[in-house]
Amino acid sequence: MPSASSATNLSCGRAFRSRHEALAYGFSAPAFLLLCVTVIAPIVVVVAMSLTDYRLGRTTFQWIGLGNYATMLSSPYFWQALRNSAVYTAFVVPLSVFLGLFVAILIHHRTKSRRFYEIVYFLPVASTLTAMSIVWSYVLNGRIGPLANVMASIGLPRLDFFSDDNLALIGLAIVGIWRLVGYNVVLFLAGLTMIPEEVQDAASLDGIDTFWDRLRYMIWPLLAPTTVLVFVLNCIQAFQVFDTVAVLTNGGPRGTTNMLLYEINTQSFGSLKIGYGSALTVLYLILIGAFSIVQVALSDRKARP
Amino acid sequence: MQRGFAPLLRSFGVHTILLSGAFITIYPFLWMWKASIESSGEVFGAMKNAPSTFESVLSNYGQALFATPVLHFMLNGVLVTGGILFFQIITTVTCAYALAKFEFRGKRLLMAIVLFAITIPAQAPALPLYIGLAKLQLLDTYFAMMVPHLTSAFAIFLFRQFIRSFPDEILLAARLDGMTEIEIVARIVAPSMLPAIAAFSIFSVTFHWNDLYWPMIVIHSIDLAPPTLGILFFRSQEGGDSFGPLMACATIVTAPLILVFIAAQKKFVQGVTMSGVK
Repeated sequence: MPSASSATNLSCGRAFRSRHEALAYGFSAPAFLLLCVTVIAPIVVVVAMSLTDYRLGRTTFQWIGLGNYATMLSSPYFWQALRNSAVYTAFVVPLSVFLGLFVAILIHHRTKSRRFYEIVYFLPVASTLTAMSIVWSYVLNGRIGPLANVMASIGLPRLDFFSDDNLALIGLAIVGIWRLVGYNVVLFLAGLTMIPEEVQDAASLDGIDTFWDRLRYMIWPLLAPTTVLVFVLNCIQAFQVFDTVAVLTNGGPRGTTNMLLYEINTQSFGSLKIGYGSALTVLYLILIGAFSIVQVALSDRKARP
Repeated sequence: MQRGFAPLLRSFGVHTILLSGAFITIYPFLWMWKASIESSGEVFGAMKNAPSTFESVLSNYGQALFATPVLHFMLNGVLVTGGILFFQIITTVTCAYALAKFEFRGKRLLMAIVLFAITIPAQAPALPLYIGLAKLQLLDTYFAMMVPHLTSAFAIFLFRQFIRSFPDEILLAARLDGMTEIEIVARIVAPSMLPAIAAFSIFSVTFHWNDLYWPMIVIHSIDLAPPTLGILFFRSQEGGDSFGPLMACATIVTAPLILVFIAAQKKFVQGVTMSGVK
């Protein structure tokens, strides 16, 4: 397909071209300037500030090289936050991917009830997480929570998730899974729709009928690219968890739910340690950036026939 | 006999599993709704002479709507998400048009910036932006809430794909008819990509309506709080007494997006899962 400029050059000549260039600049200038001011410059600045001891309110600062990174690597809070994020991700992502795939396969063959199930499973994704987290704080509450009531009625202890060192992270993970499953169901359903009917018919002729056989011999090989993509997307979302932490635990009790983004937020905007907060941000950027690059590479491969 | 019976049994099993999962998924919503139509005492335990549901609904939602600033939070939310969306569409459609249909020096650089910006998570530029806004004394304003999101690299990328496949002949004909480029964008190109714009709008509105991270950093006065931040203010101000009204607020804040979702399910799912790309 000829590009716009070659087409217009043919008919309109040179003078038109330079006018078009001016127009192109006019059209792209607002977005270009905004991207520079709100993304590119801040990223450059955050990298630079991570090498200083700047604190908000002070007028001077000094370059301290990698000092903030050294502080970070020797800070027990940082390691605790990173470990919590990793544990949270290791818990939430595999379960969400598996449950999402499982539910999607079951929904895929429903005809009349498909729409109903799609709506119900997607509701958490469509909801406002901050408001729903407040609801969860009561649902998982040890005194009035329905889960605790059920457990008490069968003689088990009443678990109070968000005030217990060992349970708080699990409580957050439950909310995380609750939200991610519906998101994954939708992505897997899109993937399943792309598996041709003939393949499915052929499989059932070959006697591949039980759920596990279908999963192993037919769905899994064809859905593998989707699954890897969903896995990476979930990892990104799990590392970005913030709302539930801020609403439900504030990182507590005793730092057991302090996760990476929450630690960045506390250090940067609570303590106003700009240099140190910047170093944490740079690390966060590298982690998410690595995931994003994998994701873009995967979507590219998927997009190609 | 097996032939007729086995599929029925299997279908029963599948529905049992799916319905159990559906119940767990929907349970917090049911609980929120139930708590919002009961008096606080009923939720926390058995209560003698509980008021009727009608009275509780009236009292909880009445208090939520008129004794708390929840409507004000919603208005803030509408202003901020609406303002963001307006600027995003204006800046991205024009930029995508330039990238898709014009040759100009710096085009590759611009494209590189767009691709780079797509991989940057929203929270990463927060610290320098906060300092900049603090120096300019612009913290705690609507402007501060909107400024990081006035354009969207993701939308530029998405719209560029659409405009690239738009036939050049039509653009040429429009130019020969004497239409200016702005008219071409506004009256020919933009209408042709309404589905993409709609999907992106849902993505953008959902993201910014639900955003807590950035408003929490830049907003301190309750007057400017969007719904997410507002409901947290409300929770920390009131104790367990106004539990019913709190749940009524949660319901009111969650309702708009859920209603849009149920009304336009396909479009909504498409819009929200686009976030997979960003």
